[in-house]
Amino acid sequence: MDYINTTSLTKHYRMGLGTVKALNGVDLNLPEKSLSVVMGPSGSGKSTLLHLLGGLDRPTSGEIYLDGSRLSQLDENDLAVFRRQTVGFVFQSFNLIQSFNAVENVSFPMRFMNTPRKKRNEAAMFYLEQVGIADRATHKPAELSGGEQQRVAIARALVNNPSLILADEPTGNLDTTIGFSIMEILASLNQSGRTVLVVTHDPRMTQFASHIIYLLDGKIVEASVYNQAAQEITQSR
Amino acid sequence: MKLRELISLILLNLNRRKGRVMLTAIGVVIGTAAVVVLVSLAQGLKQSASAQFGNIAEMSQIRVYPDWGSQMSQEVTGTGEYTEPPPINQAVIEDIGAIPSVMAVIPRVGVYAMTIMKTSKLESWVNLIGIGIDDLSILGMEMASGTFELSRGTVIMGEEVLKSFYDPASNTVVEPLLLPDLQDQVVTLELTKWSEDDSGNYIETKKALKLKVAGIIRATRSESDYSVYMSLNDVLDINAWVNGRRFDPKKDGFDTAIVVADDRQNVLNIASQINDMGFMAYTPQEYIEGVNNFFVVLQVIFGGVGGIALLVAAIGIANTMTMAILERTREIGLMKAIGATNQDVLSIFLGESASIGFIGGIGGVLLGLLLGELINIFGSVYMAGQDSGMMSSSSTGILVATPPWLILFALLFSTLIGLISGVYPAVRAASLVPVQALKNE
Repeated sequence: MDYINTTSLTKHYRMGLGTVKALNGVDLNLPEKSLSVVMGPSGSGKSTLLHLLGGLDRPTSGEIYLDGSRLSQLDENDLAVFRRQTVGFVFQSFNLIQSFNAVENVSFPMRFMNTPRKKRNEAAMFYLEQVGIADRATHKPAELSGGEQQRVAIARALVNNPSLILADEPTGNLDTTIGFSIMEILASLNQSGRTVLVVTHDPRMTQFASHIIYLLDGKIVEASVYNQAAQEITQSR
Repeated sequence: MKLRELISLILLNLNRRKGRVMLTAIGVVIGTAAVVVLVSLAQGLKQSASAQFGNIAEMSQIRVYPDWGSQMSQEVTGTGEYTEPPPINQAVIEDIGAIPSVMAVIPRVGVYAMTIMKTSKLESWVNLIGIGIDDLSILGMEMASGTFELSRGTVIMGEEVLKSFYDPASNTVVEPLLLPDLQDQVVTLELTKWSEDDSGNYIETKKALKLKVAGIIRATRSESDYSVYMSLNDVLDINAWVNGRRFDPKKDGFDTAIVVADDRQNVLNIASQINDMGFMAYTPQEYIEGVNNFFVVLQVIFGGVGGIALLVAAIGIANTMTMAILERTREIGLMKAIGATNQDVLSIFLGESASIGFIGGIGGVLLGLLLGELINIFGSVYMAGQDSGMMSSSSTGILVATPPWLILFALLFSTLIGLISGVYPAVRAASLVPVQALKNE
């Protein structure tokens, strides 16, 4: 069976009087150790897809199988444990806790695992080294550049050694050079055996991808359809 | 999440919002301090009131009076003709003595004349009591010197009586620097009575008795401190001289009788039986119970006033924690994204608000103890200025007494207040949908 498998996945939001169909019947199959890039314009439902896969939200209908777990069968607690053990999230706006330094931010998830402080710090230092900013370990987010902050956030996503990394526009807040270095880090995580799924606008990410998913209006479309639509959007501006 | 991890995280969270935590805790500090000071004040007042209650032996005693009260009420309502209440005569003494658990019934009679006790140089106006026993130890009195044995021609007096002697030769009223040592001395008792002659003029008649001081009673802050005890028959002799008629134990009543119970637990029961016999029985227990009830009510009222301050503080905590959720919505979303369960988030927020309550409680207890100490210092200075000399031995100077249970209670209660205030915000935080929380800007 595929590592990620979704069937007729839908997610509807109530917005005022109407309903927004953020996802509208998504069937997705992704193997283990793949690096998938989800492309799509704003409002196409790509972040929603990522949140559903990571167990941050529940679908309106449809099923998600991930690493053998059927997410709809997990209760709130099991879902928390799933997020803790299986998934590492990387966000566009980093979501670091401002009063914690880099080590404390990276080791934060381990607090919910009851890992002793010494082991927490060791693990945090190990992953900070992996993302190349061990020298900034005692700095707080405000003392770090955007790229450095995102590296800390990636180290935090890794600290519980998850098999899946979900990144939501990880380069969205960074300049192109630094953004590209973040992409390289994500690619290297994939090479070391993790399944990576990146939601992005940036087409440069596709050069690392084993799978590319194009989303339009909550549905997966072919590359040709997507490019056609993208051209129309560009021309209409 | 383990408790240790939880506590360390809570402390970390509180530490990064020191200013606001302190401001919120100040509300609890004031509320707790108010509770501690006010309840301690009520406790202190109760203790100093109890200190005036006299010796413990009196707790197992009952005083019996003729029932003047019912006669008075009949007069007021006009429902009956005035009759003398039944006298406490020898037969009544024996009847009361027959009640189970009664150890002794001791008749007492006062002197119906003006009495001045004189030594060679000093004199004092004394309160003479004729008492129908020859051993005062049964009343629980302790002797400062001399003997309990009261025989005819002797007196036993309270320690405070010694202080009441003054020098009639000096014009100013000054306490003698040295108290007279009257033990085994012979004193003169000067009695004065007035009688009307045929033409309606009052004639003053004096009589002097020589009496030996057999013992001095140690002061216990009760009636005996200020009394001079004589044998009942001596006093009846004096009254026969005053009235021109001998006391008839069958017909005439004693002023009062003191009933001694074998155990203080039986006192109220005996008293009600005596009341049923048509006499007025008075026990210090009834009074003390009344006073104690009053102070319990006072404590509750004072505690309630402090409680209002704590309630305001509780709303402050709830407000702070609700604000914290609004500010930390993304953080809550993040915690959930990285694997915190709803239970974890709930525990963290409840823990934070309970900690604010606890911190405030510690501050409040310390502030309350400090204020109590200050009240005691200034109170005793003030009371020393007010002291009338006679009360010097009875005023302890303690106005505020904090019992240990109150400190424990205040800490637990303030923590509980914090915890309860945190329930609503914490439940809200725990039930946030992670995605919604993360989207929050």
